Amino acid sequence: MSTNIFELNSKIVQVSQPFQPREAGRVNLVGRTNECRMVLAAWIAQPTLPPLAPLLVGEPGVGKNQLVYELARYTNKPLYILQGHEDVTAEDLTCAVRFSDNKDKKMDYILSPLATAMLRGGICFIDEIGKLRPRALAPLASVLDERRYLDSTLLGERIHADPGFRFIAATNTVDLSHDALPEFIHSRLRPLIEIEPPPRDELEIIVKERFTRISRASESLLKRFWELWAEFSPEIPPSPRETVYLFGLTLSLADEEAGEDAKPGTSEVKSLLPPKKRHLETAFEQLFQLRGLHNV
Amino acid sequence: MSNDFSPCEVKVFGSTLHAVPSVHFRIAFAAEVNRICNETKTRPEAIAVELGPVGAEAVRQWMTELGIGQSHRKHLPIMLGLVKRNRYLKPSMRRRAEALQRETGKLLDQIPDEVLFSELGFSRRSSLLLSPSDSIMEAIRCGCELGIPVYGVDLEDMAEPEQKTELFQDPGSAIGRVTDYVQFNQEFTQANDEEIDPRRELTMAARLKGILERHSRVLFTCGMAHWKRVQDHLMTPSLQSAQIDMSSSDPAKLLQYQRVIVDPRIAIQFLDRSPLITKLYDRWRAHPLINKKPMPYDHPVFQPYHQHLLRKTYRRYFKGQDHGNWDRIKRQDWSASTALEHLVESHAQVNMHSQPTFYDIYTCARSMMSQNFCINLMEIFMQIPWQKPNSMGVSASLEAANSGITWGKQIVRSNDDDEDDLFQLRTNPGQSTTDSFMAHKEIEVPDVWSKKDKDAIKLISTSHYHSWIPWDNLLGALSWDAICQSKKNEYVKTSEEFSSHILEGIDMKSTLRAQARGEEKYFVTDSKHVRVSADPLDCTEGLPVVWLFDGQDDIGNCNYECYTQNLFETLRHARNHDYFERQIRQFGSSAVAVVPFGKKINDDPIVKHPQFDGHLFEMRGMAFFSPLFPTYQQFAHWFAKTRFKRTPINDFPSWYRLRSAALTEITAISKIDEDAIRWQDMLVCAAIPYAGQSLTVVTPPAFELAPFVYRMAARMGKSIRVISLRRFPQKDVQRMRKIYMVKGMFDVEADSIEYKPGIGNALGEDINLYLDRVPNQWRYF
Repeated sequence: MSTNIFELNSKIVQVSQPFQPREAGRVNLVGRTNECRMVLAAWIAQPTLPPLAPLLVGEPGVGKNQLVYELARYTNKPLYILQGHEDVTAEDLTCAVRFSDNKDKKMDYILSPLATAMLRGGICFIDEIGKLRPRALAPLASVLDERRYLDSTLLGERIHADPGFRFIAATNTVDLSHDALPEFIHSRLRPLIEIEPPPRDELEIIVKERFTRISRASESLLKRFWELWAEFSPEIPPSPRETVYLFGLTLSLADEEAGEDAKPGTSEVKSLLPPKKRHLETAFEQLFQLRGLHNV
Repeated sequence: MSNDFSPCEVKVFGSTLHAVPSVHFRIAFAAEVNRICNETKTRPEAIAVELGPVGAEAVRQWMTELGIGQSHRKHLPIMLGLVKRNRYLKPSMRRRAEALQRETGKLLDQIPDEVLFSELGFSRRSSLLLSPSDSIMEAIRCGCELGIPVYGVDLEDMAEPEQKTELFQDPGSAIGRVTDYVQFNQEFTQANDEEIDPRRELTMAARLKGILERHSRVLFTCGMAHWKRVQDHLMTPSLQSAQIDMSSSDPAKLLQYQRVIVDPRIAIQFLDRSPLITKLYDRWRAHPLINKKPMPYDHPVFQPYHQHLLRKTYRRYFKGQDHGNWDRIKRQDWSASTALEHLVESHAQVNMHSQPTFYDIYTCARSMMSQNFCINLMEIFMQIPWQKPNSMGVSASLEAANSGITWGKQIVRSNDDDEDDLFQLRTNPGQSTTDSFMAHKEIEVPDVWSKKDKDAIKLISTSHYHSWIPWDNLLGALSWDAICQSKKNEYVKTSEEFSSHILEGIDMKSTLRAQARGEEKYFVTDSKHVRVSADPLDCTEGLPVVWLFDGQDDIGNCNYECYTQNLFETLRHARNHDYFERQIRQFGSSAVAVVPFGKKINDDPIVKHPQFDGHLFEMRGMAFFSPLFPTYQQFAHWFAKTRFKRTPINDFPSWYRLRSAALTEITAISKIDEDAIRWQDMLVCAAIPYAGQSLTVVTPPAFELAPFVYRMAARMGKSIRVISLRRFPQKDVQRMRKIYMVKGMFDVEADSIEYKPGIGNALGEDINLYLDRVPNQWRYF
């Protein structure tokens, strides 16, 4: 039996695949110690209380998902991600069916990431939970309280959570406004952990770790970046995603210029040089000044 | 030179150096310093601290001016600080500084503070905070109290050393075992600033040698990270001793230290687990010459306190409305409260804190509860008398500045009439910048700091007779015990479906309801004896408690007294100032806390003790109306909670008034002759009008209250719960019968009583005696 097949009370079901952060080119998480500790504290089960289900709230690009990947790595648990959007239904949260590729079978049961995490004792992460419609969230009620089970009408089974099962969700701040989550879910998603933009020194470490090629010029580039940012948005700090995209584009602009300078008709390209301030300024103009904040 | 077992004790030139390597601002280490100074065997002849000579002298002088000295206990205001200009830049920053000057075209002193800080890590000023929980401040304070020299052995001027993040055991676990803690952890704290610290440690060792030549026993306290190297230098024979420049007390030099009052938002980070705990430590710490015995390590100040504070917050936040009338948010908070407590403990566990800290509790509450709950929690934490700005002749203050461009950094402002400087505040070791920043943003500043003057009535300091605090504690403890025990005897009316016995009669309501539903059922009532525990959310029910110690009718030469609290002194702590003022105008300014019945004893050996200044009143009975709190702040809460209805209040309170009111009620129900009423019955009758639903009476064996007493209670809709005096330890009862009224001064700023020195000696009782028995509901700690 392959690893994505599971026998559930004599029914053969297909399970979801876990996400492997390491395979996805994950980089080390910088900072966020307090937030990680809060999640780990919430996940400690007490004799009279099941583990809590934290909800991460923050602006786009501040690093909510990175934090969850780090937690999965730290706890060494498989991570199952369910991406929230408006078309997710209650059944998508439990179990779906599809026409089988197997000639001997008509239909296959596909267990959702949530149900799979419950069976396998992994972490279920619902990203953008604020985008789910309230009625789609109903199955979560029994999962997140002391019952810790999930009923699937389609499957005709009750899935009990493995003791190692943990739950976490994330949403953007804007999606949480005007009571997007119904009370029965909101009261179960606790603690609510606000993810703020990282401080300046952490952002600088992120840039230096991601772009080792620019390390020699990083001090002057970073200094210029802060000057540009202070003029552009003195009150709101940049998010890590915006910063990483900016320096990524800066690097690409420098590489592109190096390619242009190469002799025509040869495949020789100038050795890759660190980007200059002008590359950063062009990238900054492209990403922020022309498009406005948080459009990256 | 030799070094014996203890890693914190060094012998040099035949003299002994007791070191307290510490984690700054943590009570465990301050308590260790206090213990060494209190014990006769280890009491030092001189104190040395990790401050420059002028810095140490500036602190010592200010403490002396505050009244800290050999003859009396004095609390340290929270919080004072000294700010000094920095002159030095780290050598490694020289090139960067030159580059910065070239880039900006300005000299260093013309470059803005934020730029200097972000580019060179340079702050124009540095601060020295006089926190009662810091071992250095405790050492200087003990030096003042013992009247011995205090030396600063560190460098006076240096570039600010870099503070690296260090991982070591929670300093809370060092309580009572500092030596073991240091031995285990000091190897993890070696990673210091290699540019600055080696020079400092060498200087400290050389100066310590110089001090040890002159004094045979010296107490030295410094950061734990320095101790190993200082100790190694001390053991190096080639290191010559150095003398400290004795001109450190030169007024011109002292002027470089500017005195400031510290903003609570800044101060909170330097007060151990929470401001409240530090204030309590300050209150209960022993004066080496007056108390002579250090605080025991099982003192409540050193114990976990988070559940008590959370419950206090619940009481405050959920009070006032029935469960049914709560809004959605309150209901959510109520349902999350259990999870919150679990989360607080788990959070402390994950952060390796032996006890949850202020940040554990507040961070968890912020993520679990509503904003209103967090505000209530914060107010409970911040309930200490913060030093007001522009007080004590200090015009400058250290305040939180707008963080602006330096996200995540904690920038503070030192301001006075002449200058306004920004600089970075160094955080505690083991405390992240994020924590500090969070506190900076979120903390609700007490009113005194938002410049509102609530003190409409002039504050007064009074010197007269006060009851001795251990007696207050014992009385509170036994009375609460009496309330709890009497509750266990409660009978509760129940309704049951009729089966074979009519029990106490037909329950008409239930029967009619059943019939209306078309059910042929009959209900009867019964009284069941149930075990009820005292409701932790209601600490007023069951009071007054009337104690009757003997059943004899004759009055003899006994009389009644009234021990009162001055309501004016509660005014400054009142949350609703106008309401308090109205109540005081309406009812009067004195509240009767206890009415004892008995007589003065003059031939008691304690009364004749030369250090005893007061009198003894031996009781035969007493009515206890309100807990005897150690602070007026608590009294203010009590009166607000009870709406001034549970305590007799009058401008001129007297037993005569209470008796007259009781007699009016008695004569309305019974034609009993006034002279025939026993004193015990009269005491209970005087207490009945001030009961909630019930009052508690503790009676001697074989004593019964007169029937008219029960009738009077029933007429006023109250019940009397009677329990036997035999349920209490004889020794405690005997002690409680004796009230020693002793001379003391009420310190308005500190909100506590300062007794005359020697009272504890005369009574043979430590001031902390019975403290651990005070019920949680009435605790200040």
